[in-house]
Amino acid sequence: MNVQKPDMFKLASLANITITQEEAALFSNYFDELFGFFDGIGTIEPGTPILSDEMLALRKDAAISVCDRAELLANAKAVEDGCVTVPKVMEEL
Amino acid sequence: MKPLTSMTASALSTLLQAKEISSVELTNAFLQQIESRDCEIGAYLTVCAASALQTAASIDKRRANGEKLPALSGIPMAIKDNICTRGIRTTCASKMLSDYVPPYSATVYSRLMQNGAVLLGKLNMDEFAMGGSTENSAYHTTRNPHNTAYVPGGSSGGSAAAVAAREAVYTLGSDTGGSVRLPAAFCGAVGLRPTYGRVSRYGLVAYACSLDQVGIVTKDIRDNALVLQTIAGYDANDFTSSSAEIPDYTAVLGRGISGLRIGVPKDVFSQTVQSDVKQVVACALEKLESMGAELVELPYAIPELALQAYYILALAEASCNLARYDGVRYGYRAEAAEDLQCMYRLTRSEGFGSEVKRRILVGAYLLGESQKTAYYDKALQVRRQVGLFFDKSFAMCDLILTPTSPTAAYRIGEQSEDLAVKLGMDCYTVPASLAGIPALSVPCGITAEGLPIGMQLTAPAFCESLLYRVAYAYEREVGNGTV
Repeated sequence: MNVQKPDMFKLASLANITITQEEAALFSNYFDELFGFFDGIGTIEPGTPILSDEMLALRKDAAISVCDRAELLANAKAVEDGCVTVPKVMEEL
Repeated sequence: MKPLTSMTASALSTLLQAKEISSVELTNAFLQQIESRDCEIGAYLTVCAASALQTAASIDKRRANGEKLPALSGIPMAIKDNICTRGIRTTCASKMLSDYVPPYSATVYSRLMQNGAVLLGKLNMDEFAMGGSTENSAYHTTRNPHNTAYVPGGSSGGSAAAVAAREAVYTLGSDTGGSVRLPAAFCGAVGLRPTYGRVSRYGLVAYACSLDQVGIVTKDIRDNALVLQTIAGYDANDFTSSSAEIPDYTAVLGRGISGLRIGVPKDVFSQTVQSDVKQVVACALEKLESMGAELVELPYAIPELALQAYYILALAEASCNLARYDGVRYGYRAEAAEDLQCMYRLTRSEGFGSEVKRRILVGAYLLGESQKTAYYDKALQVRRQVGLFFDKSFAMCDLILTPTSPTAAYRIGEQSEDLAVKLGMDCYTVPASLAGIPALSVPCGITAEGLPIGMQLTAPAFCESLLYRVAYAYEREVGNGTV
């Protein structure tokens, strides 16, 4: 299959990961190998059915009990007034 | 009497019920074994000595008061570190979750605890279950108890090594593409991947939701059946769990296998299978035939693109599942970030190991608009073909036998550089994962170097009893595996 190799930095950015030049080179080689391995998948003819007859399981649209707020916040690195805090989102004017 | 740490859960249960031993005594024996052996094996990430002894003492008290307790009461076990345990650190062997303490418990853990299990601790694994050797843990490598120069398999390497090293009576792992069966085979233990939906996934940290299942590692078949009996069943917290009736899994043990048809897929022993494995599994087939089973040469081969389809689907799902680790609500958070976007990126770059990062990148690429049709949709088609392969095969036989993996364990740090060979270790295990059907790895011999070899039995959905029936008959005939 003809694969257009992605720009590793752009792909990493989409995945919210920062990579170094060294990592980019390593991942690029891995892509070459892996997509070479995946190549045969292109031989599958269109039209082969995808889903079985079984219905997909869906959860009931109903409220369920969840953990206590304090327990949920206990794992957060920064909390203020019962809320998780994060670095600034908007630039200061 | 054998050392307590060498005994099975069913044997220990008898001793506990007869009050010949106490749970505290038993738990202490395992804690001492962990103390003396785990510095070499590295099966554990967290040992819960104090809480284990506390639970054991409470079970002993209840038993002394005349309470009738379930079979697994007072028996020490351990759990893979991607199964949430309320109040006990759950790391997924990742720096990302190094200090994560879940505010809730996985259903499988809750069910075991309700049945009086004693939790010894949490077990090492490949980071986020991505790997097949337990060399990809952010903490340490686990070693194979049969020869510590070798890997225990993965990703549930800690689960299999703990059973083989007598550091737990039984353990839970997780199996996405073979992560319970492969290490069980490498360590000479029994490893079950149940039918998708038979056991709740609630509280199992997700890698690839459509493939993940909690699995069981034990010394023998009866123990495996006992544990499945305890953890199986519908769970309202997992909407993919099944309400199908749960049979008595131990009731079929000892029924014999006369007349059962065991299918062998076409071309199953390809050139890539290690000669020792080929020979040992062929002997196991002969043995089963001599015990009354009928061997059926299936005219169908395992779909050749199953492995590719598995990796495409697993990595695509993984990239979505692991998007949640951003440092906001839990887990590692990079300190140096000046703004939110920078925090996300630094957190994920510093928190994930290299194997996890590259799998996320591949998954993200596979789900891109232009690649979805070329790869993801095709992989779903192959998945359906795998299901049809099993449907056709089970019309001709009752269950299917293959090796669990093409080779026995390899030396630490010496996994093949060839990606196709590396991924090919899962060639026998991924088909059952894709089809969502149960498969059991059973020890069936050793290599010339003394390393265990496993054979895999696969059955139609919800037919775990059939797997246990055949494996138990085999175990009785040839002895209790290699653990």
